[in-house]
Amino acid sequence: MAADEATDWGVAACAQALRTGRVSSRELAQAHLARIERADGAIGAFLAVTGELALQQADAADRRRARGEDGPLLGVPYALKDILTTAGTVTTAGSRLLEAYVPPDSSTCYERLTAAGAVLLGKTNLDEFAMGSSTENSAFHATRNPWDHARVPGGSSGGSAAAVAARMAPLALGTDTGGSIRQPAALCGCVGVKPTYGRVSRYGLIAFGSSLDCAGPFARSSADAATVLAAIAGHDPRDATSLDAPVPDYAAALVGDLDGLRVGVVREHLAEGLDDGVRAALEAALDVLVEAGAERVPVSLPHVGYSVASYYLVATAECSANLARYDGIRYGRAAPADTLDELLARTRDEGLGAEVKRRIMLGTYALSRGYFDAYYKQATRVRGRVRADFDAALEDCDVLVGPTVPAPAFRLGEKRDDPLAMYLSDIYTIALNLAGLPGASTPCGLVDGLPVGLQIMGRPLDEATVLRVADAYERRTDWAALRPPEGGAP
Amino acid sequence: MEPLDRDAVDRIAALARLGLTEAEREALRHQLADVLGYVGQLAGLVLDEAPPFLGPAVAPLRADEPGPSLPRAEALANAARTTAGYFRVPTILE
Repeated sequence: MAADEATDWGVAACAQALRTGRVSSRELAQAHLARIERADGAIGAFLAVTGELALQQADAADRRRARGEDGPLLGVPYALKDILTTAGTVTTAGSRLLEAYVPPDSSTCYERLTAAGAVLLGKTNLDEFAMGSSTENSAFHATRNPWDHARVPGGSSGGSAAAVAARMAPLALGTDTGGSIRQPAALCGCVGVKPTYGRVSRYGLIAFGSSLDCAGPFARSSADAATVLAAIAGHDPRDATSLDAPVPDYAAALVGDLDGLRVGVVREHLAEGLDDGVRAALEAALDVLVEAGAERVPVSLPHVGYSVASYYLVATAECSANLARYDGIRYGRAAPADTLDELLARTRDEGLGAEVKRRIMLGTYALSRGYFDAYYKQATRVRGRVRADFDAALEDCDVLVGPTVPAPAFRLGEKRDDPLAMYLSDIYTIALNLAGLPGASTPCGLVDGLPVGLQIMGRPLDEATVLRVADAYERRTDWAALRPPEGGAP
Repeated sequence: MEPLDRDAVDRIAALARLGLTEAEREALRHQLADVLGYVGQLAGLVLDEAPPFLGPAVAPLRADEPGPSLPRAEALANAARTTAGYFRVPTILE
C-alpha cells in the first residue's frame, strides 16, 4: 500500500479499507503519522503529534475489529483542535498560560470519538483561546495555508482545517464561535460543519463564549462530516446547555437531489464589497443547486449588517467572564508575586496574548457601569433581532445559502495590526453563531488559485438538510476533491 | 472615535486584573477606540420592543443528588503552589 494513497482516503474510504482488511488501523495511523512528519514542517498544523497514543489506539481498534466489531470510525485517524481537553495529554488552548496544562479529564467529543474507535493523531493549532480568524494569534507558531504557504489557513481552527486539506488527517474537530470552523474550511478548501448550538456537548471545550461555542467536524466531504457528527452529537448531562433531542440518521438524509427544497439567497450577502470572483463562484454554485432540483428564493436578513458589532460586544463580554478563571492559582502558568493583585496581573500579563487581552478589555468595558445598557444590553437586543430575521427567512425556505468568506485567504501578517479589519473577515459567518443555528461550508471554487466556500445555513437541529444540500452539491462538482499543490505555492 | 485616555484604559485593565506594559496601554487606547467606534453604531438603533436575547441555551436544573467529583490529588495536580492539600495563594488579609 503506497503511503500517499492511504492519506488520500476520506473517512468512508478508510473505514472500507479497514473492513476489507486491505490495511490495519496501525498501518493507517503510521501512514498518516509519516505524512505529518513529511508535510507539517512547512505547514505547522499541529501543536503536538500524539504518535505513541495513536499507535496504542490503533492497536486497540485492530483488536476490536478482530473480535468482530465494526463501525464507521473504528480505526479511523483524526486530529483534535487543542481547545478540546484530552486527559493526560497537554491541552494548551493555544496559550502560554496553559502550555503545561494536563487536563484531569477529557472532553465529551474526545470520549465519544475514542469510544467509536477513532485514532488521535495529534492536537492542532488555533488562535489563542479560539480568538481570531487566522491562527496567527497562537502563542506558539502560525499555521500556513496548504494552498499557499505565505497565506493564512483562517481561524481560529486553522490547524484542523490545514491538517485535513493537506491530507494529514481525513477528519478533524474544530470549534466555531464566530465562524471558526466554516471560515478556515472555506480558506483551506475542505468541508466544515457548525452544528446547532447545544447539538454537541461543550463539556471539555475550553470556554470562550459560552452562549456561542460549538464543536464540529472538518472533513473532505459532507458525507464524512455527517458520519463524525453522528458520533459526537447528542445529549450530555455534563453540559447543561446540551440539547436533549434525538440524533437523526444523517447519512440517510443524503439523498443526492434537492427536489422540493427552497434555497434562500440572502440579499444583504450579495451587496457591494463581495469580491467578484467569490460572487461568480457563488452564482455558479446556485446554478448547480437549481440543477439538482432546488428552488431559489430571495430573502432578507435586515439586521445581519449589525452582526459583527453585536458579536464583538456579546462574545467579548462572555470571554471577559470566562477568562477570569486564569488567575495562576488552580492551574496554568503562575507568575512570581507577593500579593494577590500582583499574582493576577502578572500571570495574566505574561500568559495571555494581545488579542485575548484586547477582547477581555472590550468585554469588561461593555459590561461596566455606565456602558452596560448602551453596549452589552443593546447588543443582546440586536442578537434577538438577528435570530428573528433567520426564523422568518427560514419559514419561506429550507436553507439559506451564501458565501462563507468575502475573499480568499489573505497573507500572513496582512491584518495583524488592524483588529477591526480582521473582525470584518467573519462578516458572513458570525450571524449564525448569534442565532445558534447550524451551518456548513463546502468548497465552491478557486479565486486566484485559492479556495472559497459556499455556506449553507439551516433551521435549528436541521443539520440533515444542511448536509443534504452540501452533499448534493459535492456530487455534482469536484471542488471538495481538489488537492492543494505540493510545496504550497500557487 | 478619539483614542481612549490612559485613565480609562487603566480602569478597565484594573477591573479585568490585567497587567499592561506601557506599549500595550498605548496601543489599546487606539485599538479599543476603533472597535468601540464601530460597535457603537448599535447605540443609535431604536430597539425598545426587542427583548434581550441571551442565546439559544436552555439550562434545566438537575436533581440534587450527590455523585463522584474530581479527586483531590487530580484537582491539585496543575496548581503552581499547594500546601497540605490546599491551593496556596498570597496573603489576602494582613
